[in-house]
Amino acid sequence: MASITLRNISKSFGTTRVINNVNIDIVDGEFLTLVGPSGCGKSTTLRIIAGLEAQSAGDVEIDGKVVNEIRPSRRDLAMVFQSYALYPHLNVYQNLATPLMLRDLDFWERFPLVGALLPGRKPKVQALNAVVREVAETLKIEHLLDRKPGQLSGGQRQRVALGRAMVRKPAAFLMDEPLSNLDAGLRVHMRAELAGLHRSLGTTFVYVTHDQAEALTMSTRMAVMMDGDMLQIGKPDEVYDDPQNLRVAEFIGSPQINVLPGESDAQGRVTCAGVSLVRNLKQTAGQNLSVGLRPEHLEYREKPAKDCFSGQLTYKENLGSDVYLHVALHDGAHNIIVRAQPHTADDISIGDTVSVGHVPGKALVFDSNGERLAMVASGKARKVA
Amino acid sequence: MTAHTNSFGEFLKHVVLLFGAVIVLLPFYLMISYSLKSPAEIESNTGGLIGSQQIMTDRRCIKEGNPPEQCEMRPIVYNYTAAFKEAPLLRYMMNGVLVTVSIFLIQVVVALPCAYALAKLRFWGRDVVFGLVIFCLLIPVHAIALPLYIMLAKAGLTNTYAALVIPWTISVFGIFLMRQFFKTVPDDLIDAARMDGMSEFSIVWRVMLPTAIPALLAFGIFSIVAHWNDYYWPRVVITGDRDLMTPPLGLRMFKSDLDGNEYGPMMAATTVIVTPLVVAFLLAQRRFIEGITLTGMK
Repeated sequence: MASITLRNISKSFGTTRVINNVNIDIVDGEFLTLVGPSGCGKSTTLRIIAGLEAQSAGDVEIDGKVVNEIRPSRRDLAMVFQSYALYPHLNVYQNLATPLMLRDLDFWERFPLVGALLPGRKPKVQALNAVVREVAETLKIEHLLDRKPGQLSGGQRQRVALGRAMVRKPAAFLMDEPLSNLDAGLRVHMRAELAGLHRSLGTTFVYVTHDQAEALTMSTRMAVMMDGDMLQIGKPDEVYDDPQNLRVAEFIGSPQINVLPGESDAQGRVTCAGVSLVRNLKQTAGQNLSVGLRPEHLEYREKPAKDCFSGQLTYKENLGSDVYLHVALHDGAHNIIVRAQPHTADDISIGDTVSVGHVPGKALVFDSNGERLAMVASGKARKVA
Repeated sequence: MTAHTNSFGEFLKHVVLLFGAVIVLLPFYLMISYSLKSPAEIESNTGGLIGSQQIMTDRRCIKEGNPPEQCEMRPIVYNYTAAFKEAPLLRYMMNGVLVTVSIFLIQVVVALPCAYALAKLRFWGRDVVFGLVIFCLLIPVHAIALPLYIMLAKAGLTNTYAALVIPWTISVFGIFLMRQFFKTVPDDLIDAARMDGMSEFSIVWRVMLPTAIPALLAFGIFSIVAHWNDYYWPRVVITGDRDLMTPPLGLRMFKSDLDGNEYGPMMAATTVIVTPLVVAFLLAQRRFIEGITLTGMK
């Protein structure tokens, strides 16, 4: 069990800066996900925590102690890799036992042949044998202990890799996209299982992924990284509902948030594509705004109205439970995606002109730099309410 | 039509291959055949592969004053016993094993850490060092033989096993081959080993070595064949002491015989010397090819 703190961490490879001044406080026992598109520096951040990569500046603290100079194995962290990185020449049992052997046996006890003769070795081996069996049982891989990694399926290898991390009972688990090599079904299944494992172990998990769905479903908190910057840290629903930055809003959520250009007048009243929002900006911000509307905050209307976008239906994406309507707005430059119930979507066909209304009070407004702008209910709206 | 051209193409390919096989195998055929025949049959070029195997008389045995009935034997027995009797062939083979095995083991001990460092560690000047390794591949042994000999002589090491082994302990070819193989080992595996608490040396011996077995076997065959068959270097550094001779040097014992028709025993000795290599190659054949094409991983 451990808290991990990153203070002003920066990393450059030559002249390329991959991490800019990142600060995170990872609380003891939490499941923190580092999420971002590939190349955003999230894996490097994880490797810096692990000690496999040295930061160019800043401190890594584990339980309040600076560990910059401490070797990876001494940091008491365990890591699960995307490629699983199991020792190909050892069977599953040996793979699981290796971290324990290295920690508990001394040099001579590990030495081939000579080691077997030393008196102190036997009780230690029995103890680690018990730990390996226990972990194998937890992960339901007891029947695989004699196999080599090459003889296992992707899901089984994944479990062994998890097991190898678990045997040492580390202070924290570091996971670098552990699910991305699995097929879609197994990935969803393993999400639930990992979340369950985190609950039962109660240990700190630091999890790196480019898949926003994994971040939303599993984490206690998620940290969104882009181009080496830490953009936002918060609970999944906070990050989803209340993104502080346009790039965060665009990255989190599937299908992507609809972004339309908007402008505001002197009273802070925002209009986009001819439609006015119900709430006003706290401060006036001028032109060049971006208005974000999530697909579930838009709805198909049968009749056109003043507060509706209108456009032509270009594609119906049927997911069974929901249908996503792709609408080309009549201004000719923008497309929006609208969530609809299957039974409403039945009535419209591709090429039809459709009206799209929005759920009041849900629009997110960003300034020209992509920073989120605070909004307040307008006087008029308050009166209506 | 295509089937026809194809089969003709196949035919042509096989003719070429057969021709090549004959060129390679004919000397071996001759060697085995001579090692089985009597001197008379060798001289008159009769008797096919194995000769008539009629009882013959060992002239030298009679010369030494033994009764004729003790000197009668079949040519195959004569050739092979003479091979072992006229020169201490077993001793030479033991020398050969000792020298080649020590060379190979020390080469591995040196080459694996070097290759690991060149393939997986980041340090200042790594590319220059690797450039030097490539450069060293271009230096022929004969170019540095004289300075090497002088150095060994000054150190008083000529006519020792050390002289046979030391110059070959650092194999740039081995470093190069293993480095290329280590490049294909995923970095994650090494990082996982580091997280598990292995030191860099443990990683070399406990992780890299077992994954590199195919490449190591290929290198092993190159190294062992080269040094088992080496005539040049032992000839340079072993000048007096016959007890240190390696198998190829030992063959000279037969060549310098005064009566020139001792081909039988000489070919028998050659057969004995070549056999271990052929057997080792056949056993390791598949791994050997895997290692050379470097497809052993994944």
